[in-house]
Amino acid sequence: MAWPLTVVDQDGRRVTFAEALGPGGARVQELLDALVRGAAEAGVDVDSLALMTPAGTVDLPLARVSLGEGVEAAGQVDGTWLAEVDRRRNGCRQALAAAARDEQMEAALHVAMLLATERLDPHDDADVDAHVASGARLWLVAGAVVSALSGADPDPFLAWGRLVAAGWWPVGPSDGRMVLSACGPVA
Amino acid sequence: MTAAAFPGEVRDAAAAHALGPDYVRAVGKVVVSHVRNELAGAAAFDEPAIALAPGPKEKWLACRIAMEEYGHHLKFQRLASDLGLGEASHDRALSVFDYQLTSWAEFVVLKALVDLAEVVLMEELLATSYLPLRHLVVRLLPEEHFHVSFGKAHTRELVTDPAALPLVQRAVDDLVHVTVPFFGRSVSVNNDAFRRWGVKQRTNDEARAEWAGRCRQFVEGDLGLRFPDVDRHWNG
Ligand SMILES: [Fe+2]
Ligand SMILES: [Fe+2]
Repeated sequence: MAWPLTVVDQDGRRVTFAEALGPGGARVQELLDALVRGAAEAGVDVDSLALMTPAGTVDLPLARVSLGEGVEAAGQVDGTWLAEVDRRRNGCRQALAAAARDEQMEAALHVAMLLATERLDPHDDADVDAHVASGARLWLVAGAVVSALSGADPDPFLAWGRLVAAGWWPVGPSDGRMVLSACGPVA
Repeated sequence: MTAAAFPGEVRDAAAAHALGPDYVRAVGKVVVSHVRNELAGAAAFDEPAIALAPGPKEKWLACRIAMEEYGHHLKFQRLASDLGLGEASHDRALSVFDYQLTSWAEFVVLKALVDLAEVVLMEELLATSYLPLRHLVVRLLPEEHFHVSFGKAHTRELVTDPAALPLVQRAVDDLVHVTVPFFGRSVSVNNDAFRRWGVKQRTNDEARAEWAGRCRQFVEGDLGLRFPDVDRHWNG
């Protein structure tokens, strides 16, 4: 898919994707720009972004691990933390639905998933670990898109959205550490 | 053209149209059935499954699979629009998608059995006369195989707990029942046209019987559960 996207609106005018999405659209476009730039993105302060989780900032030692170790740690991710991420993710969706913006949400997720599903594709179609990592990152991208569009301020998914776009998989608090996996460059 | 099988390969949408509306209609029906089924698979089942998953790893696998199904939907939709067929996804999906997903067990059994039906249908299209469709299923089948092996692995894990057996057995019974119509009627004008034009090679009953055989092997052989009787004939 060609990026950046130009959209023809109801009056036949060519507008940017951000404009077509309405409020919060610029933030969605920024996230997707970063995803398309991928690992080439410079100036990402990985260490501090990693602690700014979608369920709030944590004070834990950061552990950078391989993909396999990341998947192992994923099995022990703090359940309370995960439930809070889910709660915030759903909250943003509900806020958009309450504002009658389902259509914009669907359009934003559709384009985000078109861009992300290919870029975060597991290279090996049978590798379960790579599918877990890819699924987790897609789940975070979807959360970040919805959160950005909803105008949440501060945006709980902003930091981790940037990490995923830059090629990382922030796994979560696991076994007293904040686990971050370098799953290789975003293809 | 009634008796002889259509021998050719059709390279693209323009070549399909050059053969006439009968050919386009036959390919179009097959493509559109996948457009619908893939979307229904992504929306009706897999998104709720993200919420039903028992742990983070399962949640993220379900998320990856949901996105793949959505991607499949878009790719079939692209084939449909190349053929000049309009928005196909708003029509009603097949009966299997009326099934309401209420547990993780149902989701994993569904991936093992219903996605196997998708695999059986796609494998047949590896020899379809319409080359864009053939090339698409070559790309999608590895992902579809992953869905089935995911479903099988997680179902096997569930049946190690004797308490889960009734739930898994019920999911098998229900899902087999709703998947039978997925292959179409035994007496089918559509299927006659598919075979005449080399879009498909088998009758609906032959495809249904192959699916049931592969399912039975898994359910009885691997899980040690009962596989319901499946009549290869189905006429609605
Ligand atoms: Fe699929
Ligand atoms: Fe599938």
